[in-house]
Amino acid sequence: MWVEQLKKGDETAAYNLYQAYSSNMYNTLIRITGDSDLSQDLLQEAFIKAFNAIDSYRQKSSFGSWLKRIVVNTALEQIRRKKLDFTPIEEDVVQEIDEELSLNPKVIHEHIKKLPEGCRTVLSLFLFEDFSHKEIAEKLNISESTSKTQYQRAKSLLRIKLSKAYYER
Amino acid sequence: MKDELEKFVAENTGRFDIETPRESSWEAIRKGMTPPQEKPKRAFHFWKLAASILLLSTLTLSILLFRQMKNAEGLASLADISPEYVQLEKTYQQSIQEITNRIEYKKVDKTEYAWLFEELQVLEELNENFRKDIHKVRDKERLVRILVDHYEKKIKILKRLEHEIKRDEQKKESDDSRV
Repeated sequence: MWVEQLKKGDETAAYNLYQAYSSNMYNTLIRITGDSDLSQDLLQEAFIKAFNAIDSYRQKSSFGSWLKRIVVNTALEQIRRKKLDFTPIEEDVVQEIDEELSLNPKVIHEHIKKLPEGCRTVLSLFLFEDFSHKEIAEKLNISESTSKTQYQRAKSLLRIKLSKAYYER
Repeated sequence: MKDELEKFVAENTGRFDIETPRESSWEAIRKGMTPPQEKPKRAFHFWKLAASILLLSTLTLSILLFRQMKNAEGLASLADISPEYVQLEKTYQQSIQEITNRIEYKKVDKTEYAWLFEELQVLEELNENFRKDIHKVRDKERLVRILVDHYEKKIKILKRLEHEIKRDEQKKESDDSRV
């Protein structure tokens, strides 16, 4: 309904859509970029793109999925402009940890932000945005195996941090 | 198999909206929005509209015909380089045709997949420019490589488009089934 109203130029409908989706999109951007200020700019850019192109939204997917694709692509355009650093995986990082983890969304979110950039982007796309490694490889112009190893690296680093957080409680 | 962390994220996706964007964001977005084009309140006189359409159609048709004639002189294909490539070119063109038929290319919403259509457009422009200057390239093998590369890239982008469309359809189905 808001979408139809927005197509007619209703600014209140645009505001309602912004209120409904901005938080989710903003956190998606933070997880991909690791940078709150940059995510703020990208959020504005993505919403402007989406609202100005609302006539092209044909409701083949839900509005949220359509908007999410614009948001993720906006972030990836930004990422592609600079060369991402995919640091090779260290052996001590891949070891399996059987310790308890602090599974708290806020703690996980904070530690994702602090992950090294290349592996953080891969983890966010795979774990939160349901991208396959093949899709990540194409989007980031890396090989599928790099995507897989970077995901393992990110997950291992994150597990170490979450384990520490658990025992420091 | 999903581990503890993956399971937790999958089961708690809604709880990861931790940070809130600044209040000033909305104002910046509002300013960036383009107001919808206002429709004219009164229709043109019919004869004016008809005359404009006729003029525009004639002009467009003339430009298209002129371009086609101009391109036809300079454009080349693999088959022009050597008859042995006729079959190869046919195979590539067949693959392209098959994918475009499968995805009903003409009906695909270009704005939904803008980034892929942009890539296709750049590829076509490069290819068109190259084919116009084809007589300048003397190295036959290089010519073949470039043309083959063009077909392969085009097929790759079209396959990607097909994959994205399928992915969206599946997502839509899963969204609908959740509702």
